[in-house]
Amino acid sequence: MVNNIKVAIADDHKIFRSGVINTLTPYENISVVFEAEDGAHLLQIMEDQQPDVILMDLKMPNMDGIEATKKVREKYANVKVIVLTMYEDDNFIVHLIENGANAYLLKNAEPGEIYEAICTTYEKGFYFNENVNLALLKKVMHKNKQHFKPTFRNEVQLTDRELEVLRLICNEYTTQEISKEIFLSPRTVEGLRQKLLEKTGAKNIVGLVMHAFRNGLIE
Amino acid sequence: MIFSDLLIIGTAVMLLLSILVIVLVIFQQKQVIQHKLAIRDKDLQLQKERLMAILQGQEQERKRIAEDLHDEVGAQLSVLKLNLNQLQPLLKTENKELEQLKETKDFTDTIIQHLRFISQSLHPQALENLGLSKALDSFCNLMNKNKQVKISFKDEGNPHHVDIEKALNIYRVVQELINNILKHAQATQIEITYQCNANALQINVVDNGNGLLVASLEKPGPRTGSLGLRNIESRLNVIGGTISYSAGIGGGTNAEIRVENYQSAEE
Repeated sequence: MVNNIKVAIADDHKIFRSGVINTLTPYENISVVFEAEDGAHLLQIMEDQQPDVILMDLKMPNMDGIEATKKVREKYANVKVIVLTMYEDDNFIVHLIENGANAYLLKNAEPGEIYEAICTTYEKGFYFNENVNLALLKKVMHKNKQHFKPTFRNEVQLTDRELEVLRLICNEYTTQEISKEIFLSPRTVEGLRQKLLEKTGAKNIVGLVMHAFRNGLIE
Repeated sequence: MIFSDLLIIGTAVMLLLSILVIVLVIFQQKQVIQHKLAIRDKDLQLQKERLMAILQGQEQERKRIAEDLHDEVGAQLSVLKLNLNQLQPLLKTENKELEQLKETKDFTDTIIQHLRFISQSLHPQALENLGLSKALDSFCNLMNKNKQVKISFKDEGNPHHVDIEKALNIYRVVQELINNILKHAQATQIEITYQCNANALQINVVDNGNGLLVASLEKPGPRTGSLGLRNIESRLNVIGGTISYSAGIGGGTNAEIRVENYQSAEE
């Protein structure tokens, strides 16, 4: 079990923030380090301290969750964002994932799923549930039907090793698990991961996975 | 000699006078007509403005109700569900207690789902954040979850930003068209195509129903039309758009919406 993941909550409803905190209390490896009332408030607190994972509402006054997610992604590359919203809409899901969210959950998700999402995004960089998978899949199919050609950008040439690592990442393997699977040291795997990010021009693991999706590398 | 001269001059003068009178009368009447026309134009303008104000007020009210429902009641229901989850460890497996809790949780989810549907129908949040095309796509997704008819949405690319006020009106027109189709056309499939270039935006709503709408519009006599159709026309009138209906290939109806100058003024 990963110990002590620092979680922050940005939501304009105090009652909901309290509800989430109560829900997360039984999980000993998670501690909620601060609450923010909106996006601007969140970024203000983050000047002093950064959580590992942010639970982000979308609809908030002053600065909404869409804007705040973009800002967090620009400034703090390592902080993970889990969108936690009432909006069940494929177009919102795709838009947020494209703008750097690492997971997208509905507010009426089961506590177990919220917990799993926090741990998984912390360890693996993303957590895609069925909702997200379907939304992304629809988007990819839609693109394919129209003007999308399944080729890598010209300059992107991946080696077999890199492709293998990319497939494993898409299958939610951690660095440790990948190193066991292909008999390389975790450091080498980490290096390959960095190389993949550089080559594809992706900003984070989610971007990398999107890239793999778009280029038909995942069955 | 003098008498006949006088007679001719007199007649000529009389003639001139009467022509002058006629010209004056015609001129006067023309002015009256012009004045009346000006008043009517003003009336129409006033009516249009009043209609715009009514529509705007209606939209604001809908938006407020939708947001209150979605954000306030939605958040509260989500907390209710979180609290129900906390009961779980306290319950015994026998006596169906856990089963009852699960049913209650599922019921809460159903309420939340209804809430989403109602609030999205009242006001499309996606419109402000993601634009008209995405909002229409989301609307189709929503309808597909709840109705028997299959709606597909195709965006032919070239995204241009649509003025938010006009976008909302166009969204409502499409919504009204779909409602009409569901009510009267007995269609099983609807296809919406969204196209735009720098000058004009065109949306086609094609169904495979009975085509009664086109038939009723072709009938002679005054066009009464349903309230829905009149709503569509007045909304398009306000934003300077047009709609035309034609028979689809193999039955059904093709409604074509066209709006020029749809982009925001400041861009």
